[in-house]
Amino acid sequence: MRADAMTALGALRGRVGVNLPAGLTRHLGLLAVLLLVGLITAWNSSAFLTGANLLNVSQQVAVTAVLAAGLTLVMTSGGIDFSLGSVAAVTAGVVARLIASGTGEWTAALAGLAVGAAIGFGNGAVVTVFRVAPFVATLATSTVLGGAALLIIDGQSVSIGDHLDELGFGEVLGVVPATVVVAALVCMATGLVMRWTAFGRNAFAIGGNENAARLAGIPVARTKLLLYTVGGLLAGLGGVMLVARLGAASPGTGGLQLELTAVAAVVIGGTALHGGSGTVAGTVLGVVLLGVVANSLNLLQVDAHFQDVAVGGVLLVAAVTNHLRGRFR
Amino acid sequence: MLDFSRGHLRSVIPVAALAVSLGAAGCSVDDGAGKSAVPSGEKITIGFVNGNRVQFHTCLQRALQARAAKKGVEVLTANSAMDPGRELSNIDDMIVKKVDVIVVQTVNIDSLQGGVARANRAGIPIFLTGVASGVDRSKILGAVVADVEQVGRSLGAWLVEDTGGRPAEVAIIGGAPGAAADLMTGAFKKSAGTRADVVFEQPAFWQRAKAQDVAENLLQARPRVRYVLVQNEDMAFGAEAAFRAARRTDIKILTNGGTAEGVQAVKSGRFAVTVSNTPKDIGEMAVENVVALLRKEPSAKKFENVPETVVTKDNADKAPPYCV
Repeated sequence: MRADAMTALGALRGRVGVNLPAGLTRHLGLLAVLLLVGLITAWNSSAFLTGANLLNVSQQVAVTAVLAAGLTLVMTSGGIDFSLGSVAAVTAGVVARLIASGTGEWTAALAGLAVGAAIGFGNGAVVTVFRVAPFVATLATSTVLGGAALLIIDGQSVSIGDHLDELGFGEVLGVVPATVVVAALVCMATGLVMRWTAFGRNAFAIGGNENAARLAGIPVARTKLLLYTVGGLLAGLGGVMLVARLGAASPGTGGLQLELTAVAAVVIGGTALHGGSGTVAGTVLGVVLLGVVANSLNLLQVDAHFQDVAVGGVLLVAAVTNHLRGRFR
Repeated sequence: MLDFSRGHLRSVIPVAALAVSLGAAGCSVDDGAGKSAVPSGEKITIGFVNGNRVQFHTCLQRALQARAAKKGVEVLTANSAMDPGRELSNIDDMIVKKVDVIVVQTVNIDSLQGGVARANRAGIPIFLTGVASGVDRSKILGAVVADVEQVGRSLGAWLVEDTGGRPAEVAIIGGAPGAAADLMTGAFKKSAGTRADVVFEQPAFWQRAKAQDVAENLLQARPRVRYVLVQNEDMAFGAEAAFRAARRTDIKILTNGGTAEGVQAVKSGRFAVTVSNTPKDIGEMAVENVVALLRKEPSAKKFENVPETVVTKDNADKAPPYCV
């Protein structure tokens, strides 16, 4: 039975492997689950496979995708950043406060990015200089920032009116939402950086074996510092996108919920928790899968009590199938 | 603002355990109701255990503190940050501090039974705000509650009036599945009658961002929907953003809250109707009733519903203030 499955999978790989780009063949299992969920939803709801709905899904996952791209970078180097969701919440709060107090919208957005990058730099410093385990360090900052986000907005929704609506509601070429374009650009850039730059390769090397990387002359501390800063910067961008889309910074936005979604997407996407391997393509597939599942739960009107069960079940199946290929190699 | 961490709990547990065992040894379980009246000259200390840090809870605490200051009552506060376990330890802390009464804006009414029992054993009366359903009323000093079923009924009645009894497709974007959200939905459906066809019902977990996503998905699944009940105003703003982006301003939003922003949105036509039941009223009434009950004044009211106003464009100018 298992031997059969192995041959079948091998044959499948042999047949389609040549036709698909390398980034996708690696994630055949994940793609299969995504297609399956899509098929089931399309079968039961005629609304699923419409252009408008697919654009909706892409818009709903844009912020998660931006955070997850940054997280993929950090995690390939063997690190983890649990504070990204809270960074997004803090940034959203700062941007909303600045705009509400009369600062220009794009100045405020830039300030938000700077805040994100600064927090990321702080995380990186704690991890590299004080050698605190990244899990602990970022969990601590995440808690601090979660509180800070509420303090910044004073526990209330801070509206930005129709500021930043070019980003939140704008469309490129009249169809594609601006946030989706931003997310796509971020993911492509991250993919290119990971594949084609010394910085990206260094991240893989550090994740594979940090001591070996150091002995090979890779500037480990500097690279890590930069990785966390980029992660923070992207989380800041996510926060700006959140506030633009929502039209307000609101308590409960971002934070742990968003963080866990991003972590789940990256891990389902095949990035190793211990570092040394990972792709942005996998992460994007993970993000899209989570978005499609949330969308189909609404379209199929799954009872509220079953939704968590359904999401968790799909995650489990996706994670298992995505790792099957590795086992059969 | 005072806050109590888990570390604090560790030092409290032995004391609480001792208190419990002493109480059991004496076989005298005092539910606080049999206590003699606090004389008017004696200062009252309220221990307020708040449930969260969002707008409603912040306003509730401010209103309670402001009214207490006016009445010369001292208030100690703690926040449970949506964690029922922390709520219990906060109640324990208040017992140790020997406050005269513990006022709880509970995180989850179902997990509050233990807290009520502990306060009873310590002989400290406990008073609830917001919700009190499912709690044995003889075990608590009293409560000021927002009747979510009444909110559902009022909105259902408004819907019937607005449709003129003609059939219409209706959607519900709820909070988290559970007591309050389900009660409101049930009452709404019943009051809206059979001509209102509820074709979509999904939770958004009281989050604005999630409500926006759900509303977008709603437009795909049920484009003919004309009325949407969104169970709080923050979520309603998320849904409204989704409808506006899809240029579907024809969909009428029915919601609940009464915040300044919400009332403003009713004025400008972004929401069709909201029900105002404000934390300001709850906080103020809680202090008034607690003091009256402790002093055994004849006017004392054990259980009271917070007043609710259906706010539409016509009366939005006269909507009561949400915060102090």
